[in-house]
Amino acid sequence: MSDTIPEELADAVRRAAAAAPATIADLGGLRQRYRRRRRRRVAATAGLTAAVVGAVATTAPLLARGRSATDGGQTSAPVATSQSAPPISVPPSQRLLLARNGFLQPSSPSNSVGEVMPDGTVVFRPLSEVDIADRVVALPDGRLVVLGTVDLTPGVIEQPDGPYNPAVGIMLVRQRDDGSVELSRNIRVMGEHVELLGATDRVAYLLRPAGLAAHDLATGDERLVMPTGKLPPGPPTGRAVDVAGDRIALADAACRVHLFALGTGTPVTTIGPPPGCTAPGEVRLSPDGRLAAFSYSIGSMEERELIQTRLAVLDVATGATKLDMLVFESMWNISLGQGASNFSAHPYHLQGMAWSTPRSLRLAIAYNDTFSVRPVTVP
Amino acid sequence: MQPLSAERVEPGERGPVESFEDFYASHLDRVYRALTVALADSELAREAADEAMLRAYARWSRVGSYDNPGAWVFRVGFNWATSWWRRKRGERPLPAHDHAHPAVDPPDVQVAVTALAALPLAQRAVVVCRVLLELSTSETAAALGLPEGTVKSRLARALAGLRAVLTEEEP
Repeated sequence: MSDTIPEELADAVRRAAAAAPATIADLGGLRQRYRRRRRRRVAATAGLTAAVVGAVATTAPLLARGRSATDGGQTSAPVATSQSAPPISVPPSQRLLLARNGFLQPSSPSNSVGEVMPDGTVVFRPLSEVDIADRVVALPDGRLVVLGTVDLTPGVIEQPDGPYNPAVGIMLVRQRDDGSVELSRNIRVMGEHVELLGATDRVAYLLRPAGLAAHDLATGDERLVMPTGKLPPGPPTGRAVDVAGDRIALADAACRVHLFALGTGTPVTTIGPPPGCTAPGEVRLSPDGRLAAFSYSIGSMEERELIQTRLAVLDVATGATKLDMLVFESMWNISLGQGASNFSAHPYHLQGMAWSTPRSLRLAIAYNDTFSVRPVTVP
Repeated sequence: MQPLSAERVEPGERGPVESFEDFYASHLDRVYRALTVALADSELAREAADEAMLRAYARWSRVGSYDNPGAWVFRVGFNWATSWWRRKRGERPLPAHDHAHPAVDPPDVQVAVTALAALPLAQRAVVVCRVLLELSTSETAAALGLPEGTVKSRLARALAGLRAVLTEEEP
């Protein structure tokens, strides 16, 4: 059997690799994480020793160190993280979920979603019925709608590779804030991709190969809202989509935000793109549906530029830009040797945003394994 | 695919030849891109590359003496990312665009990304080692903990799969 690789196929592999967004080198951050990890290990060892000799064990809340963003703004005080799950009354504002918990490891429990509370603390909501959550949508009343995968044959290690593995279930779950399950349904269609784009308390909006489908949570019935051909160019994914009332907002790859009526699937308006936008981020409609917050990037990591992550707030009715501000900047590459460069690393990530009032937002900004909450007021 | 033995001492050790700083500067991007193609998930690849580089930093006096520290870091990152459940997620069919990278790519790049994402994880790992990490068949076998025959057969199937998709998409 020959193991030579035809050049045209090797080129295709290289093209795919080159298309990936560049990662941000941060040797200083790596060293910090190493030191923290070593300290935790020492502390854990010391704690175990103390327990052995009969000392009273105590726990201390982990304090995540807040970092200010780059344009000198209103970064909040450091935020404390907590693993307790206090009940939620109906909040006056949108709930702010973290896109990923990973940067808060090891304080974040596995199989949970982090929610930034109004006081800045993070509560980890346990996720039920799924082993890995792909997307979590927070409902205003405290419940969560979750799409994720589950092992249907737990304990069986040998499984076939590939997308047709029958041992995997793709579960759509609605759960209470304490993790108890209200309903759970395997919505997998073998070999078909599915994504959760948004949800209300009654309907989950799914992206299937056929298009945008409304999935009735009570009955499991699905209705095609928009066929794939009518969706904006570039498949909408994850947080580039938001549902509010009878509207769904989808950001396309060209940074335009399209609004459609969910009941009929008809286009309502298209707004943007913000000047210079090279990649869309997250879309969040205000609770009254009048404004759309849209995070986006300017710059090309392939060109090793300074990448700006910005926030635009657009008037849905007129398309006017109410706000366009720098959130942070990230440098693709930084000083790696001893004094080789004066650049400093800014490996920031926008982990989520939510409207606090009809005119103000909260942004969750991660920096390595810490994060801060930044309030933004729309003039 | 069998889990890889990340902690195994490499057979081809030699004296440390470069600082970790130099290694990090010259290998981070390559390893990360290899993991991105192998895992079909750039965010997961970023986390995996960070974790693997951290582990390399923690034991650089040993890792730095290996014949190919870059392959070691790839293997550690790949192992970290492909725990049982992560592996299952990685093999679910993916959209043409990475979730974390929804920007527009040229059509030939989109086709290449889609074709690779459609391959089973085990085949992608072999392709990545051979093409992006530029490992030989025997080096790939050592890095992935596989017999050389398995590497060859997976490569052959992967190339056939890629060729089929790429030919189909040609105008």
